[in-house]
Amino acid sequence: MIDTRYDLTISRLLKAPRRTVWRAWAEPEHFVKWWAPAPVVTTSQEHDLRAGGGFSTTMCLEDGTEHAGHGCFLDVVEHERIVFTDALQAGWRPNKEPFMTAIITLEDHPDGTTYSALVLHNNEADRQKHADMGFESGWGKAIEQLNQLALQLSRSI
Amino acid sequence: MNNYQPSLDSVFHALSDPTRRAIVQRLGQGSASVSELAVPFKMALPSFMKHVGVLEASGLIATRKAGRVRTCTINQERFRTIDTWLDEQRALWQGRTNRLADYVETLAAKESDLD
Repeated sequence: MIDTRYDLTISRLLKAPRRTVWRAWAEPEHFVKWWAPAPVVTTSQEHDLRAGGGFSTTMCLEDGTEHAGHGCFLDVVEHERIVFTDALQAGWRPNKEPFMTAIITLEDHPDGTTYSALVLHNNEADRQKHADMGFESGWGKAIEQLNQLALQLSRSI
Repeated sequence: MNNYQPSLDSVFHALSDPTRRAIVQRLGQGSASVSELAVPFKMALPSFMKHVGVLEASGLIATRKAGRVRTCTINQERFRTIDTWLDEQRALWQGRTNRLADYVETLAAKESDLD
């Protein structure tokens, strides 16, 4: 069941075979290359791709700020499916501020692989959004500035 | 609902840079010419123009030329497309998926060279 108020889906054809897409997700040396946009540098502390395995990354921003995330893989079917959440960390230990579960699916396509992400969120999004966006090239900062700007603009009309 | 997503992506891309965010903030106080806008930044005009171009392509600002002066104005409508947290999350995941697409296509090419 998808709740369009809280959930999002993304689907895209990747022009690469399924085993290659799997490697890009499953092997930390590849994973850190695409997870966050440059100049953010991603490092992987744990990438234990099995149910209950830890999924920890750190994003290092240009200004030296670091954002660590500790998640847990819930379901892993090689070359087919990865489910993870930030509600738990390694060994199913609960996290303080759960926010999302993501379901990644890979399917064969004549030209490569159909890659789908279904991302389910809880509804307490406001608290979390800046933390989540912060590491993405300063988007958190951008949104904050924009909100201020929008406020200024609405007052000046 | 998904129709405006590619452009939403371009909005986030436009705002991912501190220079461009500063330009947007400045324009929030009123329209300005490119040369006025460029004053606080220590960069060559062609580089600065590239930033203005990215902002204009995203629709966040509009520019118009009168004689030799190009004036930039903020496009308020555009800002309303990014006011929900879910859109932010979508942009984040879309960016991720796009980067993965580029990455695996290169990786697949390398792998087939080895075969």
